[in-house]
Order: sequence, then C-alpha cells, then structure tokens
Amino acid sequence: MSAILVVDDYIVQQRVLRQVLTTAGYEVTVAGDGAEALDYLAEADYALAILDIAMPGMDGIEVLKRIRADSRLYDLPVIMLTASGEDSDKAAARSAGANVFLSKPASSHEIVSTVEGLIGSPA
Amino acid sequence: MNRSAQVEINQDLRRLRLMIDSLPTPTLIEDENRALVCVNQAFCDMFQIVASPDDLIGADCAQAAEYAKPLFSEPETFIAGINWALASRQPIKGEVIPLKDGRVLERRYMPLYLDGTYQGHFWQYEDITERHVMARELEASRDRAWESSRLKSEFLAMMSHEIRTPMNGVIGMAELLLSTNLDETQRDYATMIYEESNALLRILNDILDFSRIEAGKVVLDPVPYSVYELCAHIAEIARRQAERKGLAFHVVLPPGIPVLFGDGGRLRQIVINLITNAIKFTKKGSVSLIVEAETAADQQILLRIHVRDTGVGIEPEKIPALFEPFIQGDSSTTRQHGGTGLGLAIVKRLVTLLNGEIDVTSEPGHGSTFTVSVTMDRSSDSSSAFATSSKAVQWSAPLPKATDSSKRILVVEDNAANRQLTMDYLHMLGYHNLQFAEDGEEAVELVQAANEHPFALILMDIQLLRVDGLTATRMIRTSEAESNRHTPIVALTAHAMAEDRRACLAAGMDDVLVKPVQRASLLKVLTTYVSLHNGG
Repeated sequence: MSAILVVDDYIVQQRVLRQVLTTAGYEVTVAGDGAEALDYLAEADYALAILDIAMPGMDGIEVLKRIRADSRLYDLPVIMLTASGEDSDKAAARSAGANVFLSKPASSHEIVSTVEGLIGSPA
Repeated sequence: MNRSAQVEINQDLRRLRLMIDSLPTPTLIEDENRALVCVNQAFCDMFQIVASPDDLIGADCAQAAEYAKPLFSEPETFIAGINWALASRQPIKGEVIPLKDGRVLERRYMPLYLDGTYQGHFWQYEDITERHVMARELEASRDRAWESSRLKSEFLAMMSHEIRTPMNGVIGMAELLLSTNLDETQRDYATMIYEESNALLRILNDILDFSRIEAGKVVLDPVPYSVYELCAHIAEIARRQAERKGLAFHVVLPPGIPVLFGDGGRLRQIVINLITNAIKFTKKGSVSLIVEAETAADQQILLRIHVRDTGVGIEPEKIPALFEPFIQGDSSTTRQHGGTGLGLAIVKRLVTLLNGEIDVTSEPGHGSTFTVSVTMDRSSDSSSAFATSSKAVQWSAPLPKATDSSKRILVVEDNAANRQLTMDYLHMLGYHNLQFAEDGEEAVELVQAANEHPFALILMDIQLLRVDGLTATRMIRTSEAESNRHTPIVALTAHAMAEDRRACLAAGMDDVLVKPVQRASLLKVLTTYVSLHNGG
C-alpha cells in the first residue's frame, strides 16, 4: 500500500506535491488543513504523511503530536515540509516526532527519494 | 601673639574666603567639630539659603544639613552620604544626588589634614543636570536605534518568509512544467523561469538569514554529526557548481575524525557559502576544501577548514571590509558576479555564533584562502541520533531502529573517505560491529574465514580493484551454495541506471543502494536484512 497524505494549505504546493508523487507512482490524498488531515487519517490507512507546519487553525506540529499520541497512527512515517528555516520549527518538529524535516523548495527528486527512503518504491 | 601677626592672619583668612567665594562651584568648608568655616555665594544660591556667606560662619553644619533635607529627592540617602563620608574620611568623587526640583548634583568630598592632624571637611556640589539629561537622552536614543534596527530585521525576516511561499510555488510549477512535453523554445523559457526563480530564492534566503541573525533569532541546533558526511554533501554541491564553470574541485580530508556534537548544519552553511563565493570569483583553476582536525581539550576537536581558490584574490586593504554586509571586494563586481553581498557577512556572523574564527590570506591575481577554525565536542553517544544531512534533517523518531547492533556487518569499499562515511552512518544507526575490506578478493577471504560467525550483511561497492563487487558476489554465492547459506549482499553503486541494478541482482545481490547513500535508505536496508536474517 503506497497511499500518501499531503497536508498543506497552499493550493499551488498541494498541486506540485500531488503531481510529483503521482508521477512517481504513489497514490495521493490532499488535505487543506490539520483538522481535515486527522479526519482522513481516521478514515483510511496511509503509508506516510507530508505535513506543512504553518497552517491556519491546527498547525502541522499539533497534527503530528496527535498522530504520535494515537495508538493506531503512532508509527506513521511523517515528513515535515516547510518554507520556514526557523530553528524553532525544526526543534519543534523533532521533539514532536517527525521522521524527516525538509525545507522548501524541495526538488521533486528530493521529495521522491525521501519518500522512497521511508516507505520504499510504490507497490 | 602680637597685633601685627593677628592682622596678618585675619588678612590671610579674608583672602582665603574671597578665593573660595570666587569659585564658581558651590563649596563649603567645616571644621572638625562641624562648625562652618567658610561657604561661597554659589553654595547659598544652589541651596536657596537667604543668609549671606559671612553670616553663616560658625553655623552647625549637621543642623544645616537637616534643614536642607526637604530639597533632596532622597533626603535620608543625602544625610547618610554625609555621615558615611565623615566617618570614613576618604575622598569621594562623582557621587550623584538628585534634587526634588529635577536638578542633579554631583558631590565631592575631601577630608582636611594639616601636618597630619585632622582639621575638617571640604565639600563641593556641582550642578550636572544638563550633562545628566544629555546622557539619558543619548542612552534612550541609542536604545531606540537598537530597537528600531531589531524591528527592521524582524520585518525583513517576516517579509522574506512571506515571499518564499509563492516563490516555492513558482519553482514547483516550473519544475512540473519542465517535466511535460515542451518544444525547444518552451523548454528554454521554462528553464529560465526555473533558474531565475531559484536565483531569486537564494537572494531571499540570504536576506532572511542575515536579518534573522541580526534580530538575534538564530539558535544553534547541536546534534551528533559526521565530518565525512558533511564533506560528502558539500562536495556533491560544490562539484556541480565547479563543473559548470569548468573548474576542478578537490577535497582533502584526514582519516579518523570522530563523530562530533555541534551544529553541523550551520557549519555546512558556512563552508558552502565560502565555496560558492570562491567559485564565483575564480575564472580558471580550482577550488579546494581542506580539513584539518586536532584534539583540542578533553572530548574536543579543533577543526580547521580551509577553502582555497585560484581566483582573482583580494587587495590587502579590502580584507577588513570583506565581512561587512553589502560590500563586495570591488563594488563594480556586484553587477558582474551577482549576489547580495551578504554571503561573507552571514559567514562571519555564523562563525562567531559557533564561537569560531575566520581568517583570510590572499594574493591578488593568485587566489585566496579562507580558514574557519571551530572547536566542537566529540559526540558522547553517536548511536543516539542522526546527524544533519544536506537539506533533510532526520532523526530517530518512531521509525523502527536497529534492534540488534551486535550483528556484524562487512563493508567493502576502496575509497577511504567513503569507508569512513559508511562507518559513521552505521555507528549513528547503532551498528558498531563492523569489518572492512578494500577490494573484492579481501571480501571473499573474510566471508570464507567467517564460516563460524557469518556476517549479518555485506555492503559491497561495485568498482573495486583486483576483484570487482559483482565478481566477488558471484564467488561468495558459489561458496555459500555448499553450506546452503545466504548472506544478504547490498550493492553500493554510483550508477543508478536500471541495467546496473539488473546486473547487481543477476550477480546474486539482494538489493542496490545508489551513492551518495542516504541514511533513510540505509536504515531501510538494515531493518529489512539484518533483522530478518539471523546471521549472528
């Protein structure tokens, strides 16, 4: 199963990630904010989530914390993807339990190879 | 005493009083019993005393001070100050005393001794209100300037961050556009959009970095990191940049540098900035990265990182200004070489942040060498975390981590730096039981000798001297056929083509890792093969 949940409030970024990952052969679902992301995660199984940090409402760090606190989702591989180079974001992502921290812009190659490293090539 | 002597003494006393009265500074002299000897008009004016100076002679100074108390902002402190001076009999200078009406005075005290005998006290009060107010204003305006500069830095940081979001969108879309079917002209235009938006983003990043450092927002993020990994990533980027300009890029790296604990990400940024700069100002020849390491104190390593180029060089008189923002060696070069002129200013500030130093030696026309010296701690627990990698920071979050680090892994690799890098990775992932072979023949011998305790995994480079990786794998598989054993062998190869992969699998390998190896993929290989196969 190679379904990936992309969580980003910026539509252009959603489209880029969807296209890059679909081309690489993954199945992609997009959530526009944190609450929607948690809904999706509750409804279906995903192999990996890519979270933006700065989002209106519930931010990516909070989503990640809830994932790690959920007995069904705690071991979900998570990539934090953010435009901010802030050290505090990096540290927050780390302590919340992100697997990888990527800063934007990440090239399509970088995104795909990071995903492959975590969950392997698409099944 | 005869009459003429008495007259003379009176003359002297009057002369003395006249002298003190003509002093512009309010002055008072009292004797050892606190009786007033002499006071001037300026003193009477300052404290709004109606009596004339002559009428005050003989007055009790202690009582006078009590009368004067209401004039002072802190009356008790004023009296305490006098008492302390009288008791200590030490000269006092520059004691600042505020008055209720807003004036600020400075008190001076001197004990009077004649031929070693204590004779009384000398007081002076000076109105320093103007000086005081001016100093206060200066301080306030300095604070305001600092605050406004900090606010501007914060504003810049915020704005450049805001601009980055749509910029990332443009870059992402341009990359997608380039992956579609385009004719030559369209491809040309799309490539330009892609490259120019990346250039713009680099400028934004410089501004963002600089303003964040200036606003005091950069915090160090110390993690265990491998100097070999750091240099491998730097070399990957530097080589691409250098090749584009037809320059050679060299790395000189000594063996045996332990895993360190510090902000490797910032160190990497410093070195890349220096290398980018070196490449920018070098037309022909080469750029080199030379690392030296020595043990500084207990558990500390002094790294000396040199970036040497064969470029235009820097005039000696321009070196001091080099690390100031918005200045390039020659301002006419801004247009020629591009860039914000912030690169070296950022480097300097980051080096300072790491408690390090940066030096430049240069000969115009022959090139320059930038040297960064930093002291870093040895990592006490290299297996506890991952190091910073190129852009991805990865750490040992819930991903399944190696469960049994006692399993022995054979690394077959002829390049010393790559060997060290693979070793650092494995150490960081918790595998310490490692063995190394430099070529295929040695690998085969080791595998056959390890009959009793076979390896849990073999990481095999393909291009090796004498016996290559593919041949070595075939030899190992043949010898294993007799004992019905299968040691997982994973190829490490710089060739990512599908046919290379097929060749590896055909030779009997289980998997292929493409160099430069990423930790995530190495971890995956380890969890897949080392956990599943219980090969001791």
